[in-house]
Amino acid sequence: MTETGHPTTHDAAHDLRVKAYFTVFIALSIFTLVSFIANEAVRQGWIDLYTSVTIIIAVAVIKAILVGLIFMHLNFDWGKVYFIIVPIFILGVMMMMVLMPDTVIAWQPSQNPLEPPVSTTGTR
Amino acid sequence: MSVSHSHSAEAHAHHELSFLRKYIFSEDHKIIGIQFLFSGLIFFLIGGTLALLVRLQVGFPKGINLPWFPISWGGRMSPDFYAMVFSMHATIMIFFVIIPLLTGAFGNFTIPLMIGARDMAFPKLNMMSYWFMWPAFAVILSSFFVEGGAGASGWTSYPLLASATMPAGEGFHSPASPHSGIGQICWLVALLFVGVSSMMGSINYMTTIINLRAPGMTMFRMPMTVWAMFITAILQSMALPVLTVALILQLLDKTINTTFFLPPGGMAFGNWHTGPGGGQTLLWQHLFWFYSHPAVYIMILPAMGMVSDIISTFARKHLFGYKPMVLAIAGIAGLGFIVWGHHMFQSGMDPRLGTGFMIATIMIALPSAVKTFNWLGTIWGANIQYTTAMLNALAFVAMFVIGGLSGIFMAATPVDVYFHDTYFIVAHIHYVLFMSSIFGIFGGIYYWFPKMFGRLMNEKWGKVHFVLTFLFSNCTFFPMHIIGIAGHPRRYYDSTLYRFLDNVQPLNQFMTISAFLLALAQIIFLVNFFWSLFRGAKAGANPWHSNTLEWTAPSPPPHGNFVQTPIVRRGPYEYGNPDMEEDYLPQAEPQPSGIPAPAH
Amino acid sequence: MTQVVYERPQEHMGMPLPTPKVAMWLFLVTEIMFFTALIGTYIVLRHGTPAQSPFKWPAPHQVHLIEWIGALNTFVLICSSFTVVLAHHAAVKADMKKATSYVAITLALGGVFLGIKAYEYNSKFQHDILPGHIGESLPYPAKGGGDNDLKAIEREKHEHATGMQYFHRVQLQLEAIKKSSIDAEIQKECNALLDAMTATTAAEGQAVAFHRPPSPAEVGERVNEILEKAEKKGVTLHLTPAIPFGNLWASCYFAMTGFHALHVLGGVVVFAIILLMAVIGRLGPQHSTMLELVGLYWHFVDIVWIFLFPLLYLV
Repeated sequence: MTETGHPTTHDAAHDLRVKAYFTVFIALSIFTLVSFIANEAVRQGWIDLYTSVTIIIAVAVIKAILVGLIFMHLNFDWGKVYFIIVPIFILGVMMMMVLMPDTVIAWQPSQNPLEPPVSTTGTR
Repeated sequence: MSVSHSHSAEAHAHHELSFLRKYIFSEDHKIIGIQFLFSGLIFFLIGGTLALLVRLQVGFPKGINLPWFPISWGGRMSPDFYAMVFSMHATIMIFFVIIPLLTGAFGNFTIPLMIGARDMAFPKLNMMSYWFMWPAFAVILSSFFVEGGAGASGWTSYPLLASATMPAGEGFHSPASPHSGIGQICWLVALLFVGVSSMMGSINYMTTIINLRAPGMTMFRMPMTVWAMFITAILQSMALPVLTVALILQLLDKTINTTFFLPPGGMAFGNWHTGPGGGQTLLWQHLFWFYSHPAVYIMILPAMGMVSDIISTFARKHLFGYKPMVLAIAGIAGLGFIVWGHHMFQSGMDPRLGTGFMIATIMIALPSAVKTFNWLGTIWGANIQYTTAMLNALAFVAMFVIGGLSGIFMAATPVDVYFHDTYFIVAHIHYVLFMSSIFGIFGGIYYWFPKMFGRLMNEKWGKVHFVLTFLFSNCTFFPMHIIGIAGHPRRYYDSTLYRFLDNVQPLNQFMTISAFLLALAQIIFLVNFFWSLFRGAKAGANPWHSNTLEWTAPSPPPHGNFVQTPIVRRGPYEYGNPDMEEDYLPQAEPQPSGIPAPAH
Repeated sequence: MTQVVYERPQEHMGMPLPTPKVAMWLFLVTEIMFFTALIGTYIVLRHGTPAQSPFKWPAPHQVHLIEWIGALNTFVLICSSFTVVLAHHAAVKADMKKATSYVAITLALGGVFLGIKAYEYNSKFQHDILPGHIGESLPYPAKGGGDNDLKAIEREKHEHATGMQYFHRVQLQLEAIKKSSIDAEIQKECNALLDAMTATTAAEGQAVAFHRPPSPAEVGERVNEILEKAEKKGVTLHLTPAIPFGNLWASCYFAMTGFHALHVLGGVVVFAIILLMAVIGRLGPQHSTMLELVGLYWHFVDIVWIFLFPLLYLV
């Protein structure tokens, strides 16, 4: 496995890899703490719900990208496997979006679930 | 110059495998393909018998009392029993016949041979993918004999009929219907096994096609069969996990009282009551059809690929528009992921979604039309050899046009409002599944039988079988369009209860009689198949003078397929070059002098 | 005519990746689709619930979900991801001893994850937060137009059976609590509720005043009050709460974490096999690709948990 733009000596290259892994590990731990703190913060009322949700989801995405890029060696292999991975994400997001109208919008936020749902768009 | 690897013969000459390892638990893709073929054909008989029972009930709901028919049957099936029969007919045909035959049998057999590989990338995984079908076989067949009978909620198994939660602690009875008890659980478990088997197979096929091609076999020199199997494998791998999730959620609903598909407030069924609920029933339909629509493309694309190869071979002409054909298959598959809602136009789903699904569904006609015109372009002006395989392939094209056209009607939501759950849908299904996929399968069997078994099937009886099948299948399924337009609903156990259907009941009887004759015609095929296995004329390596790589191997090919790894020099459709003596030029043949080398 | 010279065909067709790696990525892609369907179902079902009290999606404290335990589990998996990639790294450098020890640590961390999960599941069992058990859709007596409001009466009759399932479950639990010895004040409240729920039997010749048993909804309310008091005193009661959409929550929770745990278990089994190979001396540098692929699977399992944790515990 050759690496471009890295020191030529074999051991130095390996040490660099270990350093990268360790850095990512520390970063992941810190990010977990951040999301946990964001959750506590919203419960204590320091920040509002939307901010905390944004922080938490963003943290999750960043953690996933770090694991994928460094731990799963996608920084080397992305060019070779992206065409396998990208379609599945498009498909997954699309599926969730298409499920939304029927499962999410159909329900009224203020409704008692025991009452029959009332249409949002007036009379149908 | 030669980069042949001749280790295949030596490497496998070391030990002789036992009968069990050679023919039963084989890792050889050819044997596994033949295993899928035999299981598929056996289940074809079972599914066909169930179909005859369906036709018996629909054609003669109050029994048979025809003056010219010697047997009279005075019975009438109960609605529950009839529901079980049509549900299991569909389930078996889809999951245990067509998908295993097209992807399991033909995929396994042809892919390594056609790309010049010794075997699949993961032979042990391949073997497991076949043997994972056996628990499915056992469970689905035993479901007929469990308490309450086999699943009877349609092959679509919608909640709440299928998934009403067991009253806690009262065994696996379902408050909705006796068939939704253990029978439905068996149905779910069997399909889970089929799904796992298919996923294992699809990963194997994709890896093999991506990485194990012979030198010179670029992606755009692969035969259409392999392209079709490749894209089908992509469809399977991306869509099956969603079905797996849906099946598991319904299984959990039925066993541990989860509430994914039970609406809030619960439902009462007589004295029983489901639990408190909280989920959404429509969600099942979305998850189920997200897989099951790509599934119907899984059931047609391999046949399309095989038909392309068969047609060009027997028209002795290159395939018209090879790259557009590949792009069309990819287009059908890609669009196939965004059209599942057209099965749900009448389900109460958001009409705005319906518009999107309608547009995408109508668009699928475009790549399908490209393929149809390209098949016509292939045979245009050709010197056609009307072998049995060719007849079946041509019938595929013609019947697919009819099936596809009825699909256009249903794609338009306003029209589907009328046609949904009528026999018009049943006609469409059977034109694309029976009369396209099955003709494709028959064509493939007649075409590759010599390669599989080293003998030729009888051409004369093959043509008799074809003519009778073509005639009787049209007689059975075309009138379904008519009675569907008349408003005949599907899944009804006795349509004579409704006065407005009185006029079409004679058509129902006609279709039932045709169906029985159609079944009888298949006996010819079975006799031909088994007789030729043992007494057919010996076939050489290339009886059809075809170009693709599998015809350079002996019939049947040994373990390891090729004595020397072939080197591919050209595409698979070099037929009819006027500068040559022979009218075909196999893919791995060295370039003859005087003929310019291909551009790509 | 001279012989046409043609190019030497490309010898290795396909991806510049080892075949097993291609297969592993394809497999992971199917697993991504599997978890997308599962998590997507959860997301759409959750957002389909009303957002206003009292019919909101349950908050974590209502269903005894403790966030820091989830965070701890996240940290455990992150550590195990780190150690598995170090194991692969050591194998590439042919240091099999180091690789083996890192695999052993990963295996242990996987076991820790499963152990913490088991502890959490046990807490759910103790509090009876199980699908189908939680009190939900509990009808009040028909309000509105009184005896002439046929719609309300119909609905109450229809939902009554659901409510009675909960009623009977709570009754059995209260009887068990009566026989046990717990905090006196809580015991008194439980017994009071049980008496209210139990039908009175008349002695011979005695007249008994009729008392209407509480409706399932009232039982739910009182159970929730008792549970709150018990929580404050640190007493654990095996009493099923009444939580709107609690059953759907429990269904999603067990389905998602259950399947994730099954995948973790699968990884743990594979690591055990690798450890066995190492112990009998059959693990060598030639297995570095295999370690990388197992690591890819393990990282995927970690990524799924990275998304599961915030979606279930935090937001």
